[in-house]
Amino acid sequence: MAVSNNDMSKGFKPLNPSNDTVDVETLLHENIPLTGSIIANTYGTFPSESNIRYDANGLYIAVSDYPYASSSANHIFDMTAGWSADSTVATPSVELANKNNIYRLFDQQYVGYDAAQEVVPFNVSGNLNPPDTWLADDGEKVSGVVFIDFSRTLMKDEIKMGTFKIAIGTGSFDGPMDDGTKTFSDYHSNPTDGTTYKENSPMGTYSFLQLGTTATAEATPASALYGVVYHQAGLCALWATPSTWGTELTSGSDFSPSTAQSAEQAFVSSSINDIVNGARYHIDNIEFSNTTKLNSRVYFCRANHNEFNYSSNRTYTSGSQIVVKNQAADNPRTYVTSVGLYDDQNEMVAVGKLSEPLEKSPENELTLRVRLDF
Amino acid sequence: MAFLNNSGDIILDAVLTVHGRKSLANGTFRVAKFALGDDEINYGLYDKTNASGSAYYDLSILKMPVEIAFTKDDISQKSRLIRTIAATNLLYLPELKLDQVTDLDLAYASGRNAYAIVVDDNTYDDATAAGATGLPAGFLDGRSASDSLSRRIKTPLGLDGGPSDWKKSLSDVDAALEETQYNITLDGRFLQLAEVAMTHPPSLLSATSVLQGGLVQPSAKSAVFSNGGNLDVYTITTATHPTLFTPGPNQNTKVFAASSTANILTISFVAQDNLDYLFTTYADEAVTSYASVSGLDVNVVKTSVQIQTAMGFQITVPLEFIRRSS
Repeated sequence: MAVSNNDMSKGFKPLNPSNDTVDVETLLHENIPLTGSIIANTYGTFPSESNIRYDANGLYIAVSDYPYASSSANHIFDMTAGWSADSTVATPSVELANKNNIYRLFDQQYVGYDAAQEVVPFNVSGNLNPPDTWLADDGEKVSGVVFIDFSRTLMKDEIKMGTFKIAIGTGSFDGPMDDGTKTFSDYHSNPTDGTTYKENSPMGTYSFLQLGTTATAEATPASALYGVVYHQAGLCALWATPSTWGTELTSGSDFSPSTAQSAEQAFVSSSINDIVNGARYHIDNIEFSNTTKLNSRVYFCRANHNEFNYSSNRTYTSGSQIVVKNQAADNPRTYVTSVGLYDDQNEMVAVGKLSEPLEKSPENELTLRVRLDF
Repeated sequence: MAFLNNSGDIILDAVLTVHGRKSLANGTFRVAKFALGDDEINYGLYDKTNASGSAYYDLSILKMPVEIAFTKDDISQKSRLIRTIAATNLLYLPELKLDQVTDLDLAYASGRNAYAIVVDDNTYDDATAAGATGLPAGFLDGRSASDSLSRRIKTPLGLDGGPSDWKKSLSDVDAALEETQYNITLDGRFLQLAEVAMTHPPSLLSATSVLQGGLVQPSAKSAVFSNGGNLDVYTITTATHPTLFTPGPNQNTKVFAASSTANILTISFVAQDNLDYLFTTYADEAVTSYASVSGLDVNVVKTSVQIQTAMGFQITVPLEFIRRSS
């Protein structure tokens, strides 16, 4: 004979969905500072550090904050590089197809298509119909892009607008920070001012990176010569120009060719791995605030004056006598340390613990507010 | 687990349990009720004779740290506060006891501090050899549901203090103290709860009745006190399973000094079928002359059954499965 699981009601109190629960939404932000020492030259010898994992197909590298084989490692971002197949500036002689495919991978998602259903290249005006001129020729379309794609561990639900900055050393490869660094930021972007950021990407809002950390927005495209950050998607795209990377992106025996290459030259003559290795070697630091959108349900667990004043705790009685009373006229009392939330079948689905015992007696009423975040 | 920081404001550290996460995954997550617990509290620290005054009575309790929440639902809230007693003038609360007074055959098996459950005919024959008229004291017959009814354990609920009238019912003291519902938790790998068939009114139950047995189906799978996932919980009420109760204070027994429940839970157990596997895998020890019974050489599997009232009062009864070792 099947047995219905009746309510062991003497310990439970039903929750009324309309009066005892409420749904709230909360935005949480964390500041994420990434120093360049994590990105290059800390865990082993450049470019073979143990926190850098190379894609088997040579399409990207994955950067972790600790040797990636360790269970303590957190994947922090990926880096790759792409070159527009439509570019008239140059034609890469190394890994052309890979670079074109990477560019297209991001382009079609982040910039989108024009009215003729043609994919629009990254450009410095943020338009879906930019002039057919290329940045290297003082135009608007961008041929080569270095992509920094942040992991969900860091960006959570999105990068908070107006908090992103990246500092890049623009000196020679041997001492990229020796001539100082350039800091590019979206500090000028303000969620309450639609003119300070763009919304025409299929991937949400984005901001052009300005030189410096000023809160004043410059006019585009004058301000858009360095790159762009996509807030919801967690992508930073940096243009392959001397303005962004200095005059020497790669140089030395770790690269092919080993002679000094500017960013534009490296995109033509070097592999994706060499390009992103040169790029990460130049990064001094990255910093932003992430955003976590918490959807919460709050349960108000109310203990009235005439409830929960006795306990089934085995220490509550001695020889059946309640130990917290001297005589029958004394008020009973209990000490709450936990709140359990149960389903219809009396199975506990959530539990909350109080940081210290809370006295309950007929002289008081308690409302314990239990918030579950999703 | 660590302690919660109690140096500032009171905080509430809440987590989904393993069961809660599972129900989220399968789309059945729903919160319907809450309960308050006091697992960490040792009420023995309540010093009601403190010479410094009543403000100091609970000082030791209030300054004790509390551990953070556990995500395993079966180890949280073992001790719950009672919601339904509105009276404030009670000086006594009931407790569950194992009745080993009314029937001396329901004492523990000699020298074992547990009940022995005989699981098959060979073991039964060894235990009842030499002209004995039945199983020795402390032995329960777990061969079948029908066999198990010959000796059933009783766990009355009652008061040891208060008005000294052991025939008084709990409801005479306060209606809220009476219990009609119990949760019985046992390890489903080893045993099942037996049920008296409904062909006899419960008042006619006696140890000598030849009754057709059946098996009670567990109402929920749970993992309340050991080895998660192996435990069955039976929710038993006087309405749904009247044959699992016998009348309380009118019986000629005096388990409690003051008063006891009107309906005493009276249950028996049946061993699961897969005995070879159970004893090969889980036997704790091999004992010769078990419980001083000559020739009774057995392998022993130790387990227990937990009985909990709707108010939350509990008792754990130790059991030993025994089976001829050769």
